[in-house]
Amino acid sequence: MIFQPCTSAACMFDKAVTTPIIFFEVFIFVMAIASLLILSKFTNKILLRFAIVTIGVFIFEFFTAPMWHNYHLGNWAYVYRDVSWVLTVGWATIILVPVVLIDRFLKSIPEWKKFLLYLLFVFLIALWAEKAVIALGIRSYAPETMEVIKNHMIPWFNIPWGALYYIPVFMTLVIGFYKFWTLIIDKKLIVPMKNISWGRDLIIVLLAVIFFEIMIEPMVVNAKLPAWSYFYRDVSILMSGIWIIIIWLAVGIVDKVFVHLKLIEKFAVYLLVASLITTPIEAWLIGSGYRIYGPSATDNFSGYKFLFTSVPVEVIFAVPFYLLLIIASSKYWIYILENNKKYGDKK
Amino acid sequence: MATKNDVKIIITKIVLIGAILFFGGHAAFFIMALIVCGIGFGADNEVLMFVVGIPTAIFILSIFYKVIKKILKSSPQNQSVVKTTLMTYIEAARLSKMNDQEIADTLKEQGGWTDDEIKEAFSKLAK
Repeated sequence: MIFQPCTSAACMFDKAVTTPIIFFEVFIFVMAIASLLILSKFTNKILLRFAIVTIGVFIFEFFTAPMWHNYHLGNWAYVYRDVSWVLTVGWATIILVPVVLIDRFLKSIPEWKKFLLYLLFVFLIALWAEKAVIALGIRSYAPETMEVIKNHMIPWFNIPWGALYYIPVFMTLVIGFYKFWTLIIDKKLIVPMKNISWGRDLIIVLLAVIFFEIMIEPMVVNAKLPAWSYFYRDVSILMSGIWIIIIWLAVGIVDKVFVHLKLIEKFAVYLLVASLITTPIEAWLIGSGYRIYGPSATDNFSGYKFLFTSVPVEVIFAVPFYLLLIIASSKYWIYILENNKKYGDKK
Repeated sequence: MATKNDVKIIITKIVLIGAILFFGGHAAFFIMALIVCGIGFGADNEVLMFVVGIPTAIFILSIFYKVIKKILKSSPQNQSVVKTTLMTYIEAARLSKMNDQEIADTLKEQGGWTDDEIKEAFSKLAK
């Protein structure tokens, strides 16, 4: 492995905190603690729930770190490059509060309606949060992201119009991730399925992958593929199609074969199988020049390469992270559709 | 409670299916990439891609799927896996205060299990 000290902008950014940002950080902590205390009256295992949402947000932030910058939060506020645990706590609180309250007070409405309500409320709060971090000078965007969002800002909010796309996608993945794990922590009764609905599962995985790929498009260039296969900028149906097919088959076959395993065990097998297949393919695509990471992404790389390959270790970590979000949120929807009749939600 | 034998079977299956998916998936991918991306054929050869690449990949994947299916069907433990799955669900459903008729209906209508499979699982639990 070759170590290159991180001297790029990814590490050498301005961490000096300003007074308004200190107040903002205190506000986040106070809100987080108050929310957890209040939510603990409405649901059990609140710290575990908070931890799950935090992990989901962190995975997303780690994966998309090259797309945005979080500056001026203070030296102590960063965990990886400019990914800040303070903002992670803030996002986790914003997500957990509406989700727990809707689950508590709108128990009887169908799960898909609840999901739309989660999205609506989280989105409305997130718009204000995004406005705040931009106004305070914490949030800025990588040049590749700016190229996509341009300077088209929502009037008064002063956040990019693109936020109307990436906030719901971010929330859909993280809420899906959280809701999948609540099936386990709440010991939900999941009906074992004898037959897999391959067509429905393919559509769910396809939507999850395509929405996410469009969002993270600025990070990586998919090059040298046939012109007809590009459907949005350099997002190629061939490239996305590979991930869709691998995830879809891995999940479907594991469900079919390991129908008797517990959810958590099955999830581990999904992740293992899909990672084993996708990682060497990603390595090959990078090595062959079909996938070229942009300057902001390569700036984030530590210089460590995976054993015997030229693949940055960040990519090796990013693959299972990507799969964690996509598989958990897809499986959540699959379980919801499979268990949408009257007995599924009994417990 | 899983016996040692159950654990052995699960591990064997994970390894077997993992290996088949791993090598089969990669074989299909690389054959498709070989044709689609023009290695040896020249780039942008879309006719080859549609006529040869995608069908070849689908063909190889379907062979691997059939192999997996065959292995599973021929497995003598398959029936016990079905029983274990249904018995685990029935026990959990009873704990959530569903009656046996509701459980059987759910397994049949939502899960797609046959009456025989459901009956067998209930009878195994009664013993």
